[in-house]
Amino acid sequence: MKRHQKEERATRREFVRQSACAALGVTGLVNTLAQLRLITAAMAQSTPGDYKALVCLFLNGGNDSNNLLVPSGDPATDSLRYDYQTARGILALDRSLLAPLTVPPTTDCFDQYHGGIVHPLGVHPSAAKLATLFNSGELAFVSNVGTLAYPIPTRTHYINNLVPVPPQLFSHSDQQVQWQSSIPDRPFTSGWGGRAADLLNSSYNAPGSKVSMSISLAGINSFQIGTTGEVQQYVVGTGGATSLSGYGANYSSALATNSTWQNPVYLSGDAGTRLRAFESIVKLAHENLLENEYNQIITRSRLAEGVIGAALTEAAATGVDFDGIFNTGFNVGGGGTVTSLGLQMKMIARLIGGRNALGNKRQVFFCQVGGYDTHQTMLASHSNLMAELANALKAFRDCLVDLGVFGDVVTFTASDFNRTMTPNGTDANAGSDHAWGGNAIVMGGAVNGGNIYGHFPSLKTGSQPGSIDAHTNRGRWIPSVSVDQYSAVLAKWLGAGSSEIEAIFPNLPRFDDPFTSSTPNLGFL
Amino acid sequence: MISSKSQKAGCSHGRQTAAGFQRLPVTALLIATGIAVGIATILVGRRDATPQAAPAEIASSHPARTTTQPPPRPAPVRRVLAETQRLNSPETSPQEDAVMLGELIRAFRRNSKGNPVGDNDEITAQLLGRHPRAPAVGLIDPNNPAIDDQGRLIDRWGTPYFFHALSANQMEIRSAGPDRTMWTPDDVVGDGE
Repeated sequence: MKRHQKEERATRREFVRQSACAALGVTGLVNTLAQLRLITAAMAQSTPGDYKALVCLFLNGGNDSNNLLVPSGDPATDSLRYDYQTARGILALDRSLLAPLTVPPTTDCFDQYHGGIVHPLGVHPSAAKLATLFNSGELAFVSNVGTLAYPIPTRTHYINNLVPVPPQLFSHSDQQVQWQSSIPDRPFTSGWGGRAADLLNSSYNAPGSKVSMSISLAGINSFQIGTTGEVQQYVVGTGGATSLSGYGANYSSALATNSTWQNPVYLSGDAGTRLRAFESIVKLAHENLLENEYNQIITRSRLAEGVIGAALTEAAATGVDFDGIFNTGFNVGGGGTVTSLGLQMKMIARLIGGRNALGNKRQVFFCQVGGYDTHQTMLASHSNLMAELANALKAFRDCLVDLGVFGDVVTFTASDFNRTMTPNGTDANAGSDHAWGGNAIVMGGAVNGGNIYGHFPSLKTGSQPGSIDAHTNRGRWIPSVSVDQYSAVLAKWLGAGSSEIEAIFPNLPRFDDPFTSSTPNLGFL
Repeated sequence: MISSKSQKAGCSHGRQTAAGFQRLPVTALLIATGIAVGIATILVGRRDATPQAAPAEIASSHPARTTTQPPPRPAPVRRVLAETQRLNSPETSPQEDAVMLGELIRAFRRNSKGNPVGDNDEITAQLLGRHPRAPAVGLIDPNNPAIDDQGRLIDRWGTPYFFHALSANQMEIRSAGPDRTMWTPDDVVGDGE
């Protein structure tokens, strides 16, 4: 549907909001977002009572998703599998070991590059749990998504430099930031998760909410940086809130058990005396703005610590066995351990379990796992990574199901880039190098699972007919879905309206509309 | 004839004739039309600048919609770094080669907005000024013996270097070393930071 047709359908409220957007257009992204936030808050039709959480799982280093979602047909008759084996060489996975996917015959993911012929696909054998989730309709894949400044219609357009592309393609930190900002052709100022939180927080979350809408389990990140200062990302460790050091675990050396920030009960020892002095200073008003801001950060953190603690208590009271589920998922009794990613996702599950204590109706979580830069011994290391990923997602899903909120939480993956289809060696030490478009995972009860969205790429390398290789022979797929399109679908599910979508993703109008056009094939939510 | 009339009108400033005053309404109309067109142009431009910019308008300025032919490209300007002539020579050590390549990357960065991108062959093409996405400035001699017949920079043992793009300003440069196998202890690693 064309844009003008969509606007014709808009309500008067939408018209007012869009008019405001147009008026603000010349004032720059920052001011636009700030004003939109106020407008959105003022125009909230009612306070939505539903809870929704978006979980960004970033696979740091560039996931080789060519071996996540794999053609599994007979190469003698299946051209896609033939192309896969030919290009992957030593990195090709044995098709008999793949976890089979039940790909619906009505899928559109093969339309663009494969004439609509549905090819059998499987999942990495170490990630068989993902195939189970896919086949039960709880998980979907989005194929060949990557950073784009404009659509690139054909390989020729890329090779001849006829379309602007994002700067510093194939560079780790640039591509991580571009994935997380979704504005690849401008210097970084904010992440799309932060911009979404800026706009949605006042509409959905109570004024002066107890804890930030943006919670990170992996430190400060680009994804959750906003533009207006409305929402500051709050970092939580895998053990809960990070307390001030020097006062014992959870201030046990300094505070009595019934102590609160508002009504502190300091212990008489050295630690209690020091904390009393420190907090007295923090509660003073200062003329210096920097001092005041520091005090406010400390105050917010101390208050949030209490809220996180209350949330974890609430989660424990649900009776959901978070530890047991993750221990089972990671086979702790059989010699496995819950990895860093598992611990991060377990904490997110616990915080969702304590969502009433957190007091937010909309929450954005960020977690991250490294090790995906598999230039060497890719087969062995990627197998471990896929197992960890599948174990974490499955255990997370099980916790959410037990909490009764699986339908209210959407988890999605992002990564620097996909990796080259061809290996960089010929033996077991071989790896793959930096590439471009890749396959992402979306999981949740709200996901239209059991299908593959976007467009499964042609796996022909170099200048072969039908190739979308951005290199002469390495198999670097030119994305057919932009990060903007993929992310906009997620943001809309979280509650962003059309005006907010346009503000959060200013480059989105360059691409086919993921909501009204069937071309991008992005109906996963 | 038309240009002659225009010149006359242009010369009539400050000494309006009766005929000039008779032309005044027409001139005023033309000026008013010009102002209106100008305002309309500004308004359209402003609309383009808003988040509501129509995809069709963006697409219309999109080169991909109009042609599949590459734009004409000038021959590279040679600004070869003299040091690179010594790459892989007996006078230098493998570590010095890596340092020289790091300097080459830095020189590219000074001419561009960041590091060269892609695999070895693409990065070499960019350093030669022969890549469509890089400035047409050759920083290394195309006949340099450290470039193999596939257009890749190779180390003194004949193995192509591996360029690991960490960021726009950081590039790890790796030689496989004497064993010609990448990622082993004898690798020589430099950086283009």
